[in-house]
Amino acid sequence: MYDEVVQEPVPEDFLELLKQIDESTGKKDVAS
Amino acid sequence: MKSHNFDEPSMSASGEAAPNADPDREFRRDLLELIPFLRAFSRSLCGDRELADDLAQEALAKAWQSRETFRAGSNLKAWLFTILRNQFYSDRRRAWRQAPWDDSAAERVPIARGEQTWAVQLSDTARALRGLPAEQREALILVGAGGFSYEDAAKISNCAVGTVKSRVARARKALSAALEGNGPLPNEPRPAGGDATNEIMAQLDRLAPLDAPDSSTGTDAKRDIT
Repeated sequence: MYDEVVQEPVPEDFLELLKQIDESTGKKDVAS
Repeated sequence: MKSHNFDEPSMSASGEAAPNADPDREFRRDLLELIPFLRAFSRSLCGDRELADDLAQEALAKAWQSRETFRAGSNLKAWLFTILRNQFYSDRRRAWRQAPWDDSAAERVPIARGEQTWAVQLSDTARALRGLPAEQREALILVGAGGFSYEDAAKISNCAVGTVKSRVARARKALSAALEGNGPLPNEPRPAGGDATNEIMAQLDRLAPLDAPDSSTGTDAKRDIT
């Protein structure tokens, strides 16, 4: 179960969250 | 995948990788790399995919907001798991205030078909894991699948090392019995189990042979790795 989830692609929601974090907290670009 | 260990300071998290390194950027990158593991741990706690991802996102946001409190050189993965675990139990306590919670009774509640489609995909291992008491399941996931040492798992679970060892030993026996047909499995569909079982058991074999004496001290020690 654990390993199967680890192998799953990261849902877009998570990447979107990181983008929102960037926009709300940093004025700088921390996108990878 | 970058490795984070208590004994090996994280170059990126400490900002020591390069004079001009941006700590926020490095921290964000490390968080990104740990998302799959955070999701997996969250799923092992929640069971439900959507709830688990919501919880993981909440933990991720909290970790980012609290990044200044992260101690450079400590284990970022363990820190992240601790945040998620605290949030999980905080949410559960909130639910308890709204309605009495009986863990064992909840385990016995039949799952309506079609209501939780994720259950259809559960392997024998996952079903057996869900049949374990929450604290045993958590210990088994952290040590057996998550790759944490007993010491790190104890810090994440806020208990004594001996308690983790005891939980893992009991969980392992129960899991083995369930998978060998000598113990109860939750009454759900049964796709074939497989590699996950072997991987968890192999990891546990390396850490604690099944016949090893129970080293539980029975006492919980409060720790805070954050």
